[in-house]
Amino acid sequence: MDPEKWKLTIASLTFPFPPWKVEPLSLSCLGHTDKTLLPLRCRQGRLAGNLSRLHLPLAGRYRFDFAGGDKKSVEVAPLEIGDSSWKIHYNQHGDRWRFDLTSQRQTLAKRWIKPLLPRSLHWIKQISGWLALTLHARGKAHATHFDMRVDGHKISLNDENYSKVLERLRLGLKLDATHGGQAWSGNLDVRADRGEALFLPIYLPLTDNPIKLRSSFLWNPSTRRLELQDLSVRQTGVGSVVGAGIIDNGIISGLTGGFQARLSSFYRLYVMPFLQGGTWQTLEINQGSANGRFLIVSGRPEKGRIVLDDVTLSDTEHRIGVNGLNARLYWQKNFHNHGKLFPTSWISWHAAHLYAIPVGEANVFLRLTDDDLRLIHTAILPVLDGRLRIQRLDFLNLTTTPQIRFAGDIETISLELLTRVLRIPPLSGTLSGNVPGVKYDHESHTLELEGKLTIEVFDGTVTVENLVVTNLFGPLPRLRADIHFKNLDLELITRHFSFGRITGKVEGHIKSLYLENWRPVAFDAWIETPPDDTGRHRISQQAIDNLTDLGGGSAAGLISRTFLKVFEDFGYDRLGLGLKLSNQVCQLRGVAPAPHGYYIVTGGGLPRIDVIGYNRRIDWPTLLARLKRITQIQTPVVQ
Amino acid sequence: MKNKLFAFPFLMLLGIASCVTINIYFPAAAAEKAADKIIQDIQKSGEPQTGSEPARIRISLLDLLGISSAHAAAPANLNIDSPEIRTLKASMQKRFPKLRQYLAKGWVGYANNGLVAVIHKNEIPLKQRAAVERLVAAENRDRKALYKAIALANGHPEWEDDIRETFAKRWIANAQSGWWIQETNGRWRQK
Repeated sequence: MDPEKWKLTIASLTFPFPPWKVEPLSLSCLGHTDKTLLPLRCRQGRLAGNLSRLHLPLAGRYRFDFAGGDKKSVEVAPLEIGDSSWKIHYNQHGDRWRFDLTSQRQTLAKRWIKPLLPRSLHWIKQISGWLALTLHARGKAHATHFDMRVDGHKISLNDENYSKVLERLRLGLKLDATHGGQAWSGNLDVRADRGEALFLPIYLPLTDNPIKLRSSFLWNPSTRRLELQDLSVRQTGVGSVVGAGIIDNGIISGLTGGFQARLSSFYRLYVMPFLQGGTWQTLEINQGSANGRFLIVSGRPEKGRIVLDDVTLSDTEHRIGVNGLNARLYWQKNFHNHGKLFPTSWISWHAAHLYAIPVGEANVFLRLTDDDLRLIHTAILPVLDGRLRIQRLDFLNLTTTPQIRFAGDIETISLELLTRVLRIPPLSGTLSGNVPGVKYDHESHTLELEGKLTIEVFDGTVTVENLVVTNLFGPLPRLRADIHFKNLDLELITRHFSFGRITGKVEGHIKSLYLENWRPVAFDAWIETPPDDTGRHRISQQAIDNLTDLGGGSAAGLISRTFLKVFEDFGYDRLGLGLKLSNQVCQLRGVAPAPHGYYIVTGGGLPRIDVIGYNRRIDWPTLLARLKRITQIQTPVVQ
Repeated sequence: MKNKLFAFPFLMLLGIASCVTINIYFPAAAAEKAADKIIQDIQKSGEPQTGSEPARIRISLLDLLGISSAHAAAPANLNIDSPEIRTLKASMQKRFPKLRQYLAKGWVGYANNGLVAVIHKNEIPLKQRAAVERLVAAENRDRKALYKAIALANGHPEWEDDIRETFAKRWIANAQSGWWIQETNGRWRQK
């Protein structure tokens, strides 16, 4: 061996941490070596090797000096790892030491990133960008201080399916830790403030909404306890979470904190992606803020509070909307509250709507425990000029098999107003009723009404029973119901349409009504003069013409062409008409059989006029066209 | 002789059995016609000239008495008119204007298995990726349910695969030029 030069080749060098293995590693020293001190000093050394697990070649210059008594130093610089340049310094004085490592620009490449963290990064398909890294550690025998800074620039990566993607991300990480007593204490600071990220379905525009995480920590390696203090996660323009907690062996023993959010952006980034493609994808939160507190114990939420402030919620499909929503919601896992009163939650809003029906200002008081939500006071919701009184409303097992219990009353809603907002022909009268129960089946999305709805209209009553609504907010809502009516005043009914005036009472039913998308598919309807009706029975010329037309009679307009035109109206004995719709065909029947047809109106008094229908089956579209012709809505009179 | 006597009723039974064996074949031609009808109805929604104005709830008496376009007569031999089918079709019609945009951009294509697939994922802006994926997932849920519903509506649950196959061909046949379709060998190409 030349004393001026030496060369050492190590077949394999193994570390318990990255880069794990260098094989082989050759070290050589060129000159300037004091023979007597060999091999304690080298001023111009060269090294070359291979980081075999990371598939990176290694080459560099080094010098070391172990000859200065209790002073020792090692410097490796520049150290070329792949196409990146590193610097390593190590100094020791007595048992005090210090270690520095810097890399100005380490290019990210799949071939070494994946083996570096094989468990957490195996999914990476492509990666680019670069890192700058500085690491500083010092100690007295054992390490007592450590700090690290990593800056990532233009980091782009994706998996095979592009379901996890980063694009031109800028990332900063700062970590410092000091050892004192049994534990390490320190600070962590991570920020991602440029670029975009996608973790399906969540998309993060980090340039617009940068994320910062900060925390102080205390880490005890012997008990494996991590205490987090002043933990904060902030996203500009979205919100923040602050808190403190204890993690034992990777399980959250306790975590408490608060949060605040700008709901419009929070909703857009973190809620909407989960609604895409579903029934509620058109729901939007336009304004409002939220804040609250939470407590997690033994890995499970224990209690929480959310305050919502001035929230506006809308649906571009106009199904629901709420304005000026405020709420204070307290949730607690256990109902028992250690002798204290259970906090009452409330929701209030300034105005709301369900489809076209407006709901006025209201306050609703609730109790939220575990998986249930219960109304605790009768809620009164103004609906037009009437109101909906909800005596009972429970949502149970919300996250598993939702059940709804409901009981309430509808109190005197004016039909004039209701029909106006629904843009259906104006009716006068009131809607009221009692709903003793509502059943909801979450699998078939079916709401079933127990009890009867009573509508007081046209001086009589209409009752709705067996009301079942499927897919209320879905693409094709379906409704089934049985409807009965009694004592309706025909004069009031006919006044609303340009049908022609008829006086007298009617009763009847619409059984097995089935609507899809709010349009009839099937029903069995019957309307007739009640046998005991003793009132005046008069029918106008126009009404006779229209009924004749409806029944397919050919006498339409006949009256006006004969001497009968001098009579404005005629007396009648009974009238009755049945319509049964199925398979796009409507079957018609009248109050009594007539030769080749059926009587729709049997005359009474003189001159006697009967209206006879001849068509027993009419195509539904044809009948609709006739109805359209004869039920032109008269301009409603607003008083 | 004894054997003959024994064999006679046995043969008779066999005869009866063979008489009542009825094979119901999948009505391929009718299925194609039915598929075309459904596909064309769906693809009609959101055609550029009609725009994609959001559905608005407007109820009038005539609407209440009106007839929905979903009730058009079904072609002979295959029933495509059940509440489930109508619901699924309405759902797909509502989704189609958005799907059409993705088809036109080449982000989504008609796959050879009767479903849609996200293609050219790297070309989709990150911001829109989630929406595209979710829309495609929802569309595929409806499509699978539709094939099943048609089979059930015709009393032949075992036809589901045939119906799906028929639809796969008809979606591709009804695709507009410029949209991406998947050939039987799995390769994607622009129609």
